[in-house]
Amino acid sequence: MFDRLKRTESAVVSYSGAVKRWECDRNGHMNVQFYVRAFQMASEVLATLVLGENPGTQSSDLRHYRFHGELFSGEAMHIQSSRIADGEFAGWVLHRMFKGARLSATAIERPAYPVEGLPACRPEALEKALPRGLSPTAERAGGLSDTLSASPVGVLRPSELDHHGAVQWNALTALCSNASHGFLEQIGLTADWVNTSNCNRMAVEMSIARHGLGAAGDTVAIRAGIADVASRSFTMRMEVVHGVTAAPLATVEQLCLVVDLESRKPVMVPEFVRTAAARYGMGS
Amino acid sequence: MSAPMTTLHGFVPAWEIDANDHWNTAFYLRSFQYASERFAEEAGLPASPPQVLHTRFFRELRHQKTFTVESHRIDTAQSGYDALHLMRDQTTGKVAAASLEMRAGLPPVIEEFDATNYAPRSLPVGPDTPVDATEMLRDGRATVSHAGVLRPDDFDAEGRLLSHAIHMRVSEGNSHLWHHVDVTPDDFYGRGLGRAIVEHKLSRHGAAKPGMAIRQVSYFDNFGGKSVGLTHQVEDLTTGAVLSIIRTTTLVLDLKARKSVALPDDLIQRLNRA
Repeated sequence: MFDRLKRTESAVVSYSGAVKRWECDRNGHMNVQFYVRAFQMASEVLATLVLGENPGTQSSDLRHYRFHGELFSGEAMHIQSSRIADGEFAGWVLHRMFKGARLSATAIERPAYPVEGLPACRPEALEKALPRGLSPTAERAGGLSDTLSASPVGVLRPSELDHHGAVQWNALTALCSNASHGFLEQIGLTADWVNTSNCNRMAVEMSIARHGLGAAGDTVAIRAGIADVASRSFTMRMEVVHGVTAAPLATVEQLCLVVDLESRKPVMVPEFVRTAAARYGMGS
Repeated sequence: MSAPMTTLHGFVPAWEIDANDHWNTAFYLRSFQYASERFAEEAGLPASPPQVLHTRFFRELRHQKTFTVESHRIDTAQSGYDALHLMRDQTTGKVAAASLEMRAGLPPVIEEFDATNYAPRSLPVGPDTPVDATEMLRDGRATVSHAGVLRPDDFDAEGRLLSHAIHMRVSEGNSHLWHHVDVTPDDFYGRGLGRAIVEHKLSRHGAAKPGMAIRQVSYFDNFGGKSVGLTHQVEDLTTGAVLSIIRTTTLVLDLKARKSVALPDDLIQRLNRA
């Protein structure tokens, strides 16, 4: 079934590509939406080989990402995929993105396609992909305080849809970037604060749950809030909804560290984030 | 069909620039396809992509450069191709790239245009034939350099795969082919060498559709001297049907002297092992 792909003893290479300059942020790193796109393509490649046709963005409804090492312009990367055989995520798919031999990012997904034919992963391969700081709450739509309003973030265009007319995962991620930057600015994590403190946030973990398909022309709004705060990390939650009907489209959670840009080490979460969590948190 | 016509005016925007500060090859191909379709339309033919687009690159276009493409009907019996598109730097008038195309049904030549300077140099004229790569993959001479999915925006209004979308798979897979033979970017850049595509041929075969999962089989087909030949065959992942073939000739450059140089012996050995 997977004979046309490269494979190792415990994985098949489900995607391979390279980082284009126009996919990179100001700091030269590949933007998160392109990690999401690569993992989605890997998922669809597997689903196509199993099902004989491509279900598109509906190959999964829940995926959990962890980011381990940045990718830069011009670098090549590939994704190795396996079946998770045991434990809490048995029956899910493990995707590991490598830059050469170095692990760059991981994703585990709940597949909407049979995975029995996929090679089983080794337990040690799964370790760095398991959720660490995020709870599985992204799976449920809603939850943020009703006092938060949803900000309009754009309109779905035909180029952002898959061949079945459903919005692509990477397009949703790009819309979330609009919302998260605006929200963080609003609570005090401003460019001035970054320059003064020489600290910034760094997303190390992310969950995306799909609740709806979307359609070309749909306006989209996102309600953003702080779902959790620990000493050196906080979780931002974004509820992506239809701009008019408020029908849920997706829920995205990001676990962010606050990092000293010089030492590259995590520092205490600033007080204004805690204040925002109290004001805009889950169910407050 | 008489005098040449200007078939495109274009510009190199910042977001189409490569890691090496040059305009990405995919966008040259997009421009030539635009020009080709405009030329076909003028001749009363459908605005569709040509069966073969055979391109030579002469000078790099960089950020903010403006250019024009002029198109000529040429003597098919003499050149093996039906039309020539010249991309000129609008400031200097010099030819940055030239693309020959194979397209049936163009009206006969009325005004002769000498296309000799733009004739293929390292790649044969005409469409390339698909290969069964099974054996080459098995013995390591070829590799799957890219696996992925075709998206709706990779296609034109009639559902045909766009030339630049095909080439983008080469961008995705090129490094993986070099890695396959254990040649890393540092093997070139670490010793002051670079690589530049000087000739490129795109041949179209089977039809594709949005959502199709694909793989790209790539291999080196000619190397030694100052250049390396690479072939990339894009296939329907499910059936193995060949969608397109891209062949390129890549020149080895001394980045300081800006001159072509011989491929170092140790790299030739690694290529020979594949």
